[in-house]
Amino acid sequence: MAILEVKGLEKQYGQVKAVNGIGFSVEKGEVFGLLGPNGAGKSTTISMISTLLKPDQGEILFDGQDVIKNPKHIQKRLGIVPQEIALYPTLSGLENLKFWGQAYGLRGSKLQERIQVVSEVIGIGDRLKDKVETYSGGMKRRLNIGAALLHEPELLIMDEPTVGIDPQSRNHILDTVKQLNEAGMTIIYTSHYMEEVEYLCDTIQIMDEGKVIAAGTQDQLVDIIGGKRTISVHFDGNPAPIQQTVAGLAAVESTRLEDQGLIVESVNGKGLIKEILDLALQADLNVENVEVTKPNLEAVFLHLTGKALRD
Amino acid sequence: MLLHILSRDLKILLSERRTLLVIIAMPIVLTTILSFALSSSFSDDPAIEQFEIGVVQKYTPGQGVVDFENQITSNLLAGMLNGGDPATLVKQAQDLNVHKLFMEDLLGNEDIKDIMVSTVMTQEDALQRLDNGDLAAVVILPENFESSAYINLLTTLQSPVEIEILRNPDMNISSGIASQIIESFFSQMTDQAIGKNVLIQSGIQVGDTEGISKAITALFDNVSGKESIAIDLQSANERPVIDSRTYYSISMMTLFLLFSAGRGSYLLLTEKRNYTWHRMLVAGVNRYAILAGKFAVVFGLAVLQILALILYSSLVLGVQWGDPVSLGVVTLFTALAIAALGTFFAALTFLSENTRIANLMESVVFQVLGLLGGAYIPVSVLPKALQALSSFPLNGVALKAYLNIATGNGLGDIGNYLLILLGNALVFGVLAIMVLNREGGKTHVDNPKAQTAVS
Repeated sequence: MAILEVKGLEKQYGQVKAVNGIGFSVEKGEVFGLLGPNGAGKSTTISMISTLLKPDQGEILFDGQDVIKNPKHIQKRLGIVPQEIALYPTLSGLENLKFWGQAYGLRGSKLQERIQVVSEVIGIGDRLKDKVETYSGGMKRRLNIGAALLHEPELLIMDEPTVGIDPQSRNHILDTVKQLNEAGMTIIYTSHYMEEVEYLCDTIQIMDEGKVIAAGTQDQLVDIIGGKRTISVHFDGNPAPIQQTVAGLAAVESTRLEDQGLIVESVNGKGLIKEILDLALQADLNVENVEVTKPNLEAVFLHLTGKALRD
Repeated sequence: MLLHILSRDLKILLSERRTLLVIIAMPIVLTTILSFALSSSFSDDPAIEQFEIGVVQKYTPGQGVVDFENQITSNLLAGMLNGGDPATLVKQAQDLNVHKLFMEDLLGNEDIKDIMVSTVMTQEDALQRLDNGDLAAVVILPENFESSAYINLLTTLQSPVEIEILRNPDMNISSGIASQIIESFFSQMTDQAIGKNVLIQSGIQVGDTEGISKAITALFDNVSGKESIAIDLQSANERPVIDSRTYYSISMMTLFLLFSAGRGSYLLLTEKRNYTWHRMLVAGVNRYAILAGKFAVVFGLAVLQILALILYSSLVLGVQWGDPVSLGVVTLFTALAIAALGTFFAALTFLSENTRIANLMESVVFQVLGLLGGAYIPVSVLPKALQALSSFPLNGVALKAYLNIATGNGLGDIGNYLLILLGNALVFGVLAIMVLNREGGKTHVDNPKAQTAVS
């Protein structure tokens, strides 16, 4: 059952069409990924869903009701983790949580109870009484998430929540998102980090220049590029003598040399590694390393746009 | 939500050293320094401009000689003249002519007229013009002014004369000068009366009445009197006169209230820069509730500032602020006007997305408003052209309202100031809403400058 449906959404700034007729639906209980490079239109889309921006065209339905006509319908049931740290730096973490809880209408013991729960989820309980300005980047990010969880939203939108933080904090955030989803929360997760979207999301929508260029599950997206695999074999010498022979094998689509490595693109890698290793043995080349890379979203994006996600 | 925003922002502001320094410490320090350094300016100022006083003559000029003659020829008084000839005394009274002495020789003196112009008028007119602030002081000369002056100066008898001087507390320096001139005149007259009494008593003892007569005539080439000529010096309507501590406590407070408004200008922009503005909107908090929250914050800050300065000046400097209820009402209206001004600045700063407006206000505009509003020197000392502008600055209006309360006036006397303050509150409040409307109907991301933050 779809908790959110977006149809024909458009937003233009001057001559720039930031969002150009996109549409998608988010099922209850799933993690929905919005993947795309900076400037793809992800944040503008999120701003429109969260009622911060009015679309030029299109429809946004939350639980079947029009959000554009009735913003209140979504506001108290939505949690949003903005890309920026939207907190009061000179107040303590506790004071911040208290204020944001109040902003969502929580009072008294319910507020205290939620602060307790959320501070455990985000894992900064021991620093809650310190001023936010003294927190590390990762702690600020986690508190930024906590402020969106206090009112137990049905839909949580996270806009690039791991930008600019250390790997440890990043892992903590990704685990938190997993836990929240396992507890039944629907999540829209935007990122330009392909690994995060691959790790977290059930359904993924890839955006570029305001348009949706692909959508589906991870497997469905990979199928767009025909299930290609990349086999990288590194030798103790130059593999040039065997490149031609390898290129002539049935499953091989292309080959290229990279230092002392031979990079092979294939449609179906089954049995291919053995054939390459046999050829190397015949050419008196010792194999140092073999790596098989399954196609990923980065490859999908590259395939569809001709550019890398982080360009 | 308003209360939560108020409580949160006050917590933030009061934890900032700079804010506390500007709104509490600075006015206290400056009040203390200026109160003591410029205390003498409140009694004398050589650069004072010409001012006007009203003279109320309750006596009929010339009638005093007739009354004096009647009194000295009456049986009762004749026996107390110690051999003086009534005709000679009447002649001396005519020559002396106290009315001319005061009205022409003193008030008509060209040097005096350079700074103090006097006009004879009815008591009703005089009090009305004093209330309107047109006169620096009013001198009320009683019915027995002339006749009693002759008795005091020409006989050994004493006839009390009560001269009233009503001072305008809003023209502290000018009214001080007027009262000093008049006091000094009558002080001399008293000295002469005392000298004359000693002379008559000595002459009587040696039997030289002719010598006494000549000496008295010579004596009145100078003239004047006290003891039996009492000067009742008061502020208009018996209101206390403002001293430097009271003046600067109020003027510094009203000046630094502007800085509270200035501090308010950063409040909305900070929300925008912290992205908490957007987060509140997404949480369903109404933008006007946020604006009202900022209004409440500046209001609270202004009230705290006023209370702190009243407390300090009362306890440390001994300043009397006047009737507490009136003081409370003026404080309420002043804080409302300051809050609206601060909210307007906040909306402007929010719209422009930089602190240039706030910086300009704090570094230049508030100083000019301070000068025009009488924060540094009383408005009455300023050139006429600048005095006319003193009714515009918010701090100047608040200063006048507080000074009125401190000088014993009630709410009925400051209705016009309260209306101006309320008008300011309404105008700036509406302007703030209009500015926010201009920015707000579209939200921040419709502003191309902010677009990059969400693209």
